[in-house]
Amino acid sequence: MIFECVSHLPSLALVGMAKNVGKTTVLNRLIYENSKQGEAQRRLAITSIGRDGETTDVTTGGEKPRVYALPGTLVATAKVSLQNSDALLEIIDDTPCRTPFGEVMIASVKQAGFVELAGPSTAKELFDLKSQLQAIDPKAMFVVDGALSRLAAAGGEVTAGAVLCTGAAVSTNVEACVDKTLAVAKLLQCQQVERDVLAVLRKRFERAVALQKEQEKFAFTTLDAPTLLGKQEAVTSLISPNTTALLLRGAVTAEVIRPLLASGKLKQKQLVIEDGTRMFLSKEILAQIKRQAIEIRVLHEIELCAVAVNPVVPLKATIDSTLVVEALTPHLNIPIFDVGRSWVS
Amino acid sequence: MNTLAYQFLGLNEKALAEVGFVEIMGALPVKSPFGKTVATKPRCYVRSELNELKHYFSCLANLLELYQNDDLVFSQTVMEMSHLREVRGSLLRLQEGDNVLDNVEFFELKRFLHGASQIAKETVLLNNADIVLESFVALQEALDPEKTGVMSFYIYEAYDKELALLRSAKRQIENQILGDLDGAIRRDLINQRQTLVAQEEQIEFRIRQKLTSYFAPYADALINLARSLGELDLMIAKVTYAKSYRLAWPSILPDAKVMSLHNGWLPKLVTTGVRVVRQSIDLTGGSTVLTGANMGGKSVALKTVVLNSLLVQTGMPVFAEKLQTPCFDGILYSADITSQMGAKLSSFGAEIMRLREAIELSDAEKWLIVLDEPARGTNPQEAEAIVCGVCDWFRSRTHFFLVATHYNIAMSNLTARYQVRGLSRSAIPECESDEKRLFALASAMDYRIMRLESDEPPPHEAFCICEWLGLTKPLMTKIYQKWEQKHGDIEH
Repeated sequence: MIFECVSHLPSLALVGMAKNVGKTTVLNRLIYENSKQGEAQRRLAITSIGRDGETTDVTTGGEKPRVYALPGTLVATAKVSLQNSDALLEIIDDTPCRTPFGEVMIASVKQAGFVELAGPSTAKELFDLKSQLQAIDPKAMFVVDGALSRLAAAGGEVTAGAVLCTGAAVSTNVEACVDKTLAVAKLLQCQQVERDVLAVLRKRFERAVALQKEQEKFAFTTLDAPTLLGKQEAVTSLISPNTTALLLRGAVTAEVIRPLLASGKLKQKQLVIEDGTRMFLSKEILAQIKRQAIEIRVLHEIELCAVAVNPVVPLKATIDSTLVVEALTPHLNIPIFDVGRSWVS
Repeated sequence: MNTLAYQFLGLNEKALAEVGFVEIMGALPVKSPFGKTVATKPRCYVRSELNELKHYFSCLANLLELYQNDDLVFSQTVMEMSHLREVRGSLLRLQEGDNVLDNVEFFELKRFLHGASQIAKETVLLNNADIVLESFVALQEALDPEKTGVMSFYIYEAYDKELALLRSAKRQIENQILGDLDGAIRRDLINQRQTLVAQEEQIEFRIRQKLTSYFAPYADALINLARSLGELDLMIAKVTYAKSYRLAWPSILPDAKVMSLHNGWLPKLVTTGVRVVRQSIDLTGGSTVLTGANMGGKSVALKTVVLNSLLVQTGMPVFAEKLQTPCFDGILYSADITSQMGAKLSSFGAEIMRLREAIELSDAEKWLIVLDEPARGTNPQEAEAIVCGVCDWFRSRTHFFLVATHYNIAMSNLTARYQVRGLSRSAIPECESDEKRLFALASAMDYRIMRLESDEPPPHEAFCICEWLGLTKPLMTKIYQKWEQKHGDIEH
């Protein structure tokens, strides 16, 4: 039961590693399993980062599973998507969030049916929406349907937990699919920095912060810039032999990290990122980081609750999900679900 | 409102922005989208609407008193105003007649009507503002057929028995879908449900059509309701704004011969951090000249006069300690010349065209005409004659003509003459940077204006400013020699 893995959370992100990895199937499964919980049933408040839940896939034109919402569920979606939904929706509030599909409205499902989700696209809007939904029902579980790339763009600290969705859409080669999934899963499972370091870094909003601990006191040098791109040299120059940790805010890509690794200045130090969704690195670079004994830590820990593997993609390419599940299991101490084997979407 | 009023009595957007009017209207704390619209294009009263303007000011005074005695009424109304959302798009669609409103639009209308009905309960406030909010109980009931009083909306079963039956049948299928079924049975149930959904959508559409037809005859009245809410929102915003900034309310005297501004200021300067000097001036029908040093604040003084007059005619508090004024038929201000005439004319040509407009104004009307250094772009001897002639022409007219100029206009051509007090005769300090020079110059400048009774020539402060801003001694000697060769000795 995937719901058992997440039922304790106040908020949850369904993180898709690519399009068509079965996020909607996972969401439907959560809704279904939740409905069977009796008194332990949670009220769900669902939305997406950007638009999702359309009946056809925008890239392939193929038919996609749709979110089937049950009575009582709160839905936050844009005006146009409300009209594209066939569940009986009682509109209960508006929000200040505007999307290309109109203002995001909040509705309560009166009678079950399919809903199209088109929610906010920035972290601030998501936070505000979460607060608004939790004001309507403080016990509701806020569930965000969001691709990894969109979640990363929105910024971290959106949800307390995540389910990682992977499968044939990531790669039809079992080994490649497993490698990529493990890399993301490991990043999502990154540990939070120590409490004293966290207390200092949480208050620093610059793009890069190099922290030194001198006689039990912290000192730091900082760099502020709209993006880390093009600032690699300046970031490298922040690191001194006494630096204990380097915080990088925003997306940390191969381009950003390569000069740092080449300089060797980060060896045996901590590299701190906002959360596990903010890092996009290949297996090779992650191996290099490991060789230099660089420890990756996060400011906001996300509880990775489960991995869901979808064996198919709309153009009929498939992967043997059993093999993927088997290969992932020894490396991750969390439940791994085979979407194709046990679930009906 | 007549066309003239819509154009703000002859001032275009550039002039309105230049005197700071646009900024002030944008800063008013209106809460609703309707209030924001009214604040963007406020009503501008002209002389023939004097009684209405006076009544409007008396309503604002009543509201201010109410605000001071019972601000709870205000805060409740402000809160309701801030909950109002834009519905005019839907109201226009209702007016057009061939649209069917959707669920979100009905939800928004339901909240709009509820918000308006809550504000309508504040009868004391509304009486003081002399605003009537029409009640639409029948429409509110139409959107709440189950009489729950809840501010949500969907197409209720209470609208149609057939809909209730259909949804009940659909619910049974939906419950079965949730059972542990194999894929084929489930797919079959989903298809059955889909058939019912299609029927449900048809019935819902029919209901929305009926509701739309029921609302359509009220479209005009609802648009009026939105406008009235906007007017009330704007009045409350004016009162709270006046109180926050300690602004004064003007006295409008029907047949006032004098516009008397006491300690007026330009709020735009406050935000730029420049030293703000309060100005007092008495303007009468006829022509008044303001002379004085460059950088002495002549333009600021003119803008202060224009802005405060404009605020009066739009029913706003003024940026002055006191202002007694007649109500004008219009305001002409020279800052907007080039933008109106475009590239076809030189700035001088454009000025003359605008001047002609001013000259052609009927003597039966009373305009405030303010020109900032007219004819500055042409031959100075001819320019002086032009300004002198225009002043003389306006001297015996009903309009209040105010002009800032460097030319020496004899008192015989004028009704009154003012001068910026100007630079103190202190020694010029040594300054190592331009920034410091400018600061020192500003500190030595007395920006206050004073009335002159005699025909003294304007002071030669251009030379002083050249020295303050660092022109070298040899060059200044040359400049003084040239002057003396032509005009005789100069005191420096």
